[in-house]
Amino acid sequence: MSFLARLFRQKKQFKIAIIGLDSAGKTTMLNFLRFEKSIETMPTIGVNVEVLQRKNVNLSIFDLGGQKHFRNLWGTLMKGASAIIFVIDSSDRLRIEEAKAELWNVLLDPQYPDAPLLIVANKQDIPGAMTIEEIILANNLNNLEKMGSRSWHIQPTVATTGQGVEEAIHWIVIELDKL
Amino acid sequence: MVEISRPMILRIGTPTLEKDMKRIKKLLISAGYQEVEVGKYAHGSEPMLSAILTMGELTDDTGEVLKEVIELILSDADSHVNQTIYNALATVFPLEYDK
Repeated sequence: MSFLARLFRQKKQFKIAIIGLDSAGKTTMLNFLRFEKSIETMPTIGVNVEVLQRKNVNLSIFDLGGQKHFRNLWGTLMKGASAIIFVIDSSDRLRIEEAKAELWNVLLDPQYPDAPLLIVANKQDIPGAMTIEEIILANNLNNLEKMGSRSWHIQPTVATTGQGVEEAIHWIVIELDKL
Repeated sequence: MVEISRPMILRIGTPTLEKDMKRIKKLLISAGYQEVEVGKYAHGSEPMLSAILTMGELTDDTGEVLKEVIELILSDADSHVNQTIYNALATVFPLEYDK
């Protein structure tokens, strides 16, 4: 194959950061995307880096530990991310304010003014889980002024069964393909 | 003396593991670590800092190996020395994965 042919066949490459509070299901989601099955996970003590290929896009996924004492490293490890996935445990009403605070810390970071944002409303199978509307309201996502021109989407998921997970990444791929 | 607050585990499952293993070794050396045994590192000037660099495996619930990953364990996630490693990892690994 000629150099030019290879050049035009080259896939686009993007870095994506998956963040969210501990136990939200970030690594479970990543594992389902990678292996199409659920794998028992331990809390992430640091970061998992995986590469996924979808359509003509290569995604370097940085799955960052969500425990409180790791969140101060998010800024460093997210550097260069083209899109942000924020995973929320929809059944954890007690910590939704904490999730909102962490989400907005990232959204207001000038490093990512326009990075597409995918909110993953995980654990929708748990009785009493917050609805999509509740999560939008609780996280102030309908604040047009603050969201600015950022494109965003919220995807209900059950990461343990894979429900909604591929749809979530599909949205990201479409958004990144526009860049 | 550096206070050890917590370890940091980086699992890297790129398609170019051999190349990336070499990259990480170089990163450790440039951050001042020295290999004292195969895969075990101590820092040249910060005696409390150590690191382990190995190949690990991701397995499913039945024990079936799903894939190999690079596993880097740093003894102190907060050390300024390791911050330079995170910075480098964050910018190097989203790059090309051509073999």
